[in-house]
Amino acid sequence: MSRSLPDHELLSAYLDDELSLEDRARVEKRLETDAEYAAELESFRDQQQRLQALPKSSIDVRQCVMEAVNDAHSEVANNERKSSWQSAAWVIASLAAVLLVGLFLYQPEQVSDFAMVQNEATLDDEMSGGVGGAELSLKSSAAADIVTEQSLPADRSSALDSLADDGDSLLKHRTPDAERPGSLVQPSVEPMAVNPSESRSRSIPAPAFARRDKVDASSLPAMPTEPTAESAPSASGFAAPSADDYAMKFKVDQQPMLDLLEMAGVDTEERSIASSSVDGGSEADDFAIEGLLKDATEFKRLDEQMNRSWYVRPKGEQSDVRLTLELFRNALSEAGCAYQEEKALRPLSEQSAMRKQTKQNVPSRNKEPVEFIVVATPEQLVRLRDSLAPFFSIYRLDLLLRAIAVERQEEWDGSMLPSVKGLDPPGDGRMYQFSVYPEKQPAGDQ
Amino acid sequence: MATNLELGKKGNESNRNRVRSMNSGPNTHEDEQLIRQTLAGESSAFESLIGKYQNRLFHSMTQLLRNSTDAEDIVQESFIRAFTKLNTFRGGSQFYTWLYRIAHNAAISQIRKRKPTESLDQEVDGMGKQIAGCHETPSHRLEQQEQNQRLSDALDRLKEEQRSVLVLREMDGLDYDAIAEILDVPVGTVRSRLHRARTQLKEELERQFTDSE
Repeated sequence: MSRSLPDHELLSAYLDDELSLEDRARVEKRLETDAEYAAELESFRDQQQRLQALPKSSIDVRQCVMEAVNDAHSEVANNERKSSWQSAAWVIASLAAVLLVGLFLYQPEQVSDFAMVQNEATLDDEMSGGVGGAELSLKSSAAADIVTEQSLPADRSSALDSLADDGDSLLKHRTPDAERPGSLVQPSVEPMAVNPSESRSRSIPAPAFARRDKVDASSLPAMPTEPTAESAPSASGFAAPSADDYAMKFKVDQQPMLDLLEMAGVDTEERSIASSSVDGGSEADDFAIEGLLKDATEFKRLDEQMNRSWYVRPKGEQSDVRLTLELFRNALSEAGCAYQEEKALRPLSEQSAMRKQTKQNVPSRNKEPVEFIVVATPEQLVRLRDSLAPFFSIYRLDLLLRAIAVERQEEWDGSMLPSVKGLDPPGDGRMYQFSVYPEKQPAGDQ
Repeated sequence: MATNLELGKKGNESNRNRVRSMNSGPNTHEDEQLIRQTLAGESSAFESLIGKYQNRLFHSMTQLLRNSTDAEDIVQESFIRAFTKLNTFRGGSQFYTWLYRIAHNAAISQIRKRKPTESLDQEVDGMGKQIAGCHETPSHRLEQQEQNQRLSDALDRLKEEQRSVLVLREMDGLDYDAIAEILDVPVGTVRSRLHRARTQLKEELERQFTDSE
């Protein structure tokens, strides 16, 4: 490769002693005969010496850094103590709950009332973003292990839909058009038979994401504490990035972004998704990365605070795929976004037919992300994000990053996405591309 | 011409020694030991790492950011980040390379957040000042300061990616492999970028000289 290098470039590498013997000999041969070439080498060397001779100042940041580090340690230790206490409380409460269930098993006529009370408490806690004492019920709901719609007010049933993990049973009560690209599905509210004694067996273990070691929050970038005039506070109270931030023309460089995410404690799974979500660019916009990082960090903090873990689904079932997509479509609709699906799910029948025809194992298209092209204003995007937050935590970063990846196209170009030509961005709306990984499963999850 | 060649070889030997001392040697083992101790809970070991690298990092960041206050902030932040993520350091590269990469990313982020006019107006504290040697005359010192200021101005005019690679090579003395690792670019890119940076810096200095006449 170096053979094709221009001689002047070789000269620079020669100065740095970074040439092969062969190239070195080539440079030296020319230096012997070419005075101009030799003069250039000398000018580079002179420049190098001047740069190296620039005065050096010194600092001592040891005390500052060590104070920060020690403060962080203290905070972590406090959190651990708190966490231990909470775990103990949870165990005691669980035992009490088991005892209560046992008592109810002897009084079957009271099951319905019990289920209602349990779920109302859970939902209240979840909806109010409860912490502390609410964590006991949140843990149960996070695992989506109690799914009871009966006796609940209608406005709460849709939220409970989302907590349901049993896609098969839930979809029985839904419109059959759930798979149709672009269709918006309103959740129906129909009573479902629930046997509380079975609910435990349907629990989903907390994903690896939720089980990992706590991240030292003090090491993370500071979060905005007050919404500015340009930024709208989200439902969680966290000031979302301003419209201008989102409207920027982003160009994201992969490696610096991944480094920053790693620094912020974003785990491997999320980083992996992020990695597949952006194209490399030679001019990384770190401002954009920082904005994303703040989002990711804040979501992560909220997740940990509320111990939320229901957004990860076990791999495999077609019904789960459909449920996931349905939730996403509903969220888009609620946020007021126009959208179109770029890929429909491949029907199982088609997959099966292909398998028979080719005698080969045809990879399920359902394992690929389903692309949504969405027209949204930055405000709608924030609403969408907030709406999805309880259910798609593992995907959130992906959603935002993909939005930015598409944003990199800079100008709206109908030919870029021919199937959505009809969707002209309204006002300050922009095109976003979302990818939903219905079957994505974090490493270590069961 | 033989003289030029001899000078070239001599200069290269000096460079080689300098880079070798930056990139390898007992530092690695000592750093490994300090890292192990830090991970075992001895925070004083990390303090030693800070003491060892803070000025080197500060100098590089000062040149990169062209602002010593920002550079100090970045150095602090980088050490804190390095501490919190030390358990993820696999030892695949040297500690300083890893640390530098953290600092470099933070610095680049800082540069891009600045308003376009800001970076050109910043003055690097001490850039134009030189510690006087006992044999230096006041006029020599003044001349040296002026030269440094010109160099500083010329550095300001370089693109950020050119300045980065120059700082890494000329001031930090890192070899191409380490620079490639920090900047996450192939070694070939380091070579070409470095050459362009040197050429550009030379042209800037010549332009200044012409303008001043």
